[in-house]
Amino acid sequence: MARKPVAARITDVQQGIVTQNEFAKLLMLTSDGQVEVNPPKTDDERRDFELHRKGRFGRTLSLQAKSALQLIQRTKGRPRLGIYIGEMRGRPRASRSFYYLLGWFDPVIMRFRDPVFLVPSLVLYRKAMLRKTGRYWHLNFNASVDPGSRDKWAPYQVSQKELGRRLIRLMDALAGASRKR
Amino acid sequence: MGTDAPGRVREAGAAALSYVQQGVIVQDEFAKFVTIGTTGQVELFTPVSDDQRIDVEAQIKRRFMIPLAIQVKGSSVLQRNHTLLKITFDVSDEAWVSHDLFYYFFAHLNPAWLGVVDPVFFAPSAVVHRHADPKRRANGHRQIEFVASIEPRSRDQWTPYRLSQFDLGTRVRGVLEQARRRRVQAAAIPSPLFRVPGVMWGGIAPPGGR
Repeated sequence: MARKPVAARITDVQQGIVTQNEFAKLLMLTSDGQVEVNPPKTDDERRDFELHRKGRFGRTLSLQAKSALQLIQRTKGRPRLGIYIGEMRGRPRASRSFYYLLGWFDPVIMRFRDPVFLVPSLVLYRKAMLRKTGRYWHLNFNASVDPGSRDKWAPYQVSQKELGRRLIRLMDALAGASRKR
Repeated sequence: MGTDAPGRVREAGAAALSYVQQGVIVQDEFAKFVTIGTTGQVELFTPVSDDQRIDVEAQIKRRFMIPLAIQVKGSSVLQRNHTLLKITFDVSDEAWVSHDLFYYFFAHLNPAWLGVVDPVFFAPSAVVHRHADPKRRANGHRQIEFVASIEPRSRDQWTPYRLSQFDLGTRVRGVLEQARRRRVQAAAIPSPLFRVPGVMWGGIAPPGGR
């Protein structure tokens, strides 16, 4: 029987904490400190962070981080990033200001590998086949990590260095849309 | 990359990060290195309250393990043409505890590399405290200046405590196991250590426990 990769033996909780912190780090560093990253006191709504521009009040952007410690290697084709999101008791709510951040955290280098994916919840639930089985809702995110890929997730690829700036643009666009209403 | 003073080189992006953000990032990096480096066998507890006192729950867990306190210090600035890591900080009398189970972690946060870069330093408090300025500052605190070469071939006083981030977990675990072998008891930890701002507590989980 193949030995499990050493780092894959960390618990799901440890993986969640480490990768959330890693995303938070990327958000702070790549926005030059302009994005404030606030984790919730309780994790009841499946949102890992509320983000806002430093010094500004008003609309926030919600973010849910999801990661995999290894890629899916099929017999044919290139490896893919597969992330299963399940055991959701109620149908997850989608919003224009709710995004998912998904990535491959490689334990060997203790970092995410490029690209990561910044996907609007509205898109993720539609394209990742959100469905209910038994009592729970679940979905499967399965994307190519090839930068030249043209699959349905390709438009949501973003390099780690671009992440902060991309989020600032998103927050500015959301704030602008709110003002127009 | 810019220079903010003669001989001081600041990495791109560093100027915009607040000290609080830098502190959080370096602390999280430390947690990552230890969690992955020990395959999750060393658990870390951080204070959650705003006054940065140690969480009570962490102290309850301490009953099952021998804890190790670590003070995390980072800098996004290197000196002397990227060869020296210099970190200056004050220590109050309350936090002035030299103990086998109290260590310092020093690291360079390089924003251009999106994280802490090698080498990092993991040194016992007794060794670090020996480098305190004998004169007290106006606020009564003692000041410590940590200056270490990050050159791979350097042979300075901090070389024995220099290591790769990939080896940090093993080193932390080694310190804990050594303390267990020497039968250092949790009760022997001076109580002021529990009130040191920024201190993280770690310990080896009991067999079979997660």
